[in-house]
Amino acid sequence: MSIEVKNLTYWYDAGTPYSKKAVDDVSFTVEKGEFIGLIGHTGSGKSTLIQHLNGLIRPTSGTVLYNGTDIFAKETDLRQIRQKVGLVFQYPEHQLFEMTVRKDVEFGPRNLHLPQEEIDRRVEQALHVVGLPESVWEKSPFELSGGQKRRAAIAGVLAMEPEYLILDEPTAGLDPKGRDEILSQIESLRDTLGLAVILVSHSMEDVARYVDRLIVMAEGQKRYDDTPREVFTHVFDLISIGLGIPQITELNERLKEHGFQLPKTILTVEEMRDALIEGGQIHA
Amino acid sequence: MLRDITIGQYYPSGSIIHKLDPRVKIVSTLVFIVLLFLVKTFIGFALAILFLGSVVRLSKVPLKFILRGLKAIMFLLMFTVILNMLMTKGEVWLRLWIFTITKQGVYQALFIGLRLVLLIIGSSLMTLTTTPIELTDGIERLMRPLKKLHVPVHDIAMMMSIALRFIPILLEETDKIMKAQMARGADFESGRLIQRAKAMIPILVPLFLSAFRRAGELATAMEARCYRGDSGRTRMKELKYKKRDYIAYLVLILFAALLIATRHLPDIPAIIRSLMS
Ligand SMILES: Nc1ncnc2c1ncn2[C@@H]1O[C@H](COP(=O)(O)OP(=O)(O)OP(=O)(O)O)[C@@H](O)[C@H]1O
Ligand SMILES: [Mg+2]
Repeated sequence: MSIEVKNLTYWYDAGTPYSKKAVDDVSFTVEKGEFIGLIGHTGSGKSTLIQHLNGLIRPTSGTVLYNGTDIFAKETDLRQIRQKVGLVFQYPEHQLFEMTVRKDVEFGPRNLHLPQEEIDRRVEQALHVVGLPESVWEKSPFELSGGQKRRAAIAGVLAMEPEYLILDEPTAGLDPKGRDEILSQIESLRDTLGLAVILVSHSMEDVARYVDRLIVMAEGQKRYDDTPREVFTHVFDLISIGLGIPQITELNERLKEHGFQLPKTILTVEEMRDALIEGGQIHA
Repeated sequence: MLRDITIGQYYPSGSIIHKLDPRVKIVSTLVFIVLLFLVKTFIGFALAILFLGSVVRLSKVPLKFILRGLKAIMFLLMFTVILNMLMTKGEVWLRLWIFTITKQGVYQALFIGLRLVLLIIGSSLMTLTTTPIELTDGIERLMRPLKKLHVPVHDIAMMMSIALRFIPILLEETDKIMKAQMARGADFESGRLIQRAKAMIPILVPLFLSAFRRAGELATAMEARCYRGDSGRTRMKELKYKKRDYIAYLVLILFAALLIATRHLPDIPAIIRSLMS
């Protein structure tokens, strides 16, 4: 069970003076249950790349295999792929349209022509997962706050019950608490349902905390594909392509410059705490 | 699918035609269109094709790009040509089943077809070589005399330029919303008419909301920068005629004079006929 991206290249407006290569010969494989972070400077092709994974964009060259079958082949039913590979766009709240939150979340499952009880089950579960209280389910989505709208929109994709979940900057513009809530819910979905998650993000802290594997894009190409710990050792290169490293990792690097050597690359505040305590015991 | 719409699309190539004052291009296009309806002879059409061909050549816009605009009206074009061919009365040339084709009909059809093609190419050439902003600047400047009659020229031009600016933005937005709903299993291709119309709701509601949101944001941004309409407003780029613009006007006048002159020349068929007799 996997999604395999093979030598994918995509040109916007091919054949016009505006043509632009947005994705350049990218290959990688996503296995079920993986939690992958996708980072890159603005305009590096992240959004373009992920729209290929459920067949919304047809590659200029290269292909995408879902469990070994080419999703762009004539006989593939793309709608089935789109159910299995859920995609949450940047600012998904701009796509809400129904009279009530509940009806909007129903849109996906209804398109799958499921029986009503199944639709209800999925909708309620999805709304619980994103943490929307029952009191707002029958409200108009346009009455909600920005963060609640975002949750409703994410629930709309979760209700399709995908096996792969791709989120394009799901936490942009949310407060730290909302961000942590959504990301830890997604993490627990991965843990309980075995969902594979691809998280597009500009926050180094978020990817360092949640993902097991980090893909770095630069100018449409794949630059790194490794564990966050490994990727964040390339400090200078990351900075040169317009990215950074988590603040706590940077603090660790600065400490190193002044002769405080901690045993490894630090990714989170908790790791730093533990490392310091351990280090302290050694010195005591 | 939305990308095939070329109307109003700009093709940057930095040619001399691109550099002309937008007023020259607007006036020339209007004059060209009027002239097209005055042409009655083959020589006249040859002249018009030659003129437009040279301008296309000078503009450095690939022919492929220009012809793309014709694709959209292919059906209309065919329909007009065939209808004209069949419906015009006159000297019978050919009889097929219930159809009769007359000599006058063939001429008529040919002329109308040519006229339409030249008209479309001529006007799309204007938008291909002029940015929407330049275009509205030109229109505003050309309409300035109307201000004395209390026509709100500036506001009309501003509304036009905003509308033009919003077309690509809204197309992009539509594309994005369609994709997002397709990701939730929406189907815009199959089903009966009513179902298809219903399938548009998930696109139209977010699209309208986004258009209103953008309009509101734009209004706020304009007010924040003290936009107060026309009074006391100066421009960064004043339109000024240069030498090349006067030359262009001269060429246009020459072309117009020649074209009108062809109306008084005997046409080729007439010449041939007089030679044969
Ligand atoms: N609809 C489009 N038409 C033409 N070019 C586009 C379009 N969408 C994106 N591009 C171009 O493709 C490149 C990659 O864009 P993309 O949106 O994939 O970047 P991104 O990594 O998602 O950036 P961000 O972090 O800002 O969301 C950019 O240079 C962009 O200008
Ligand atoms: Mg993006």
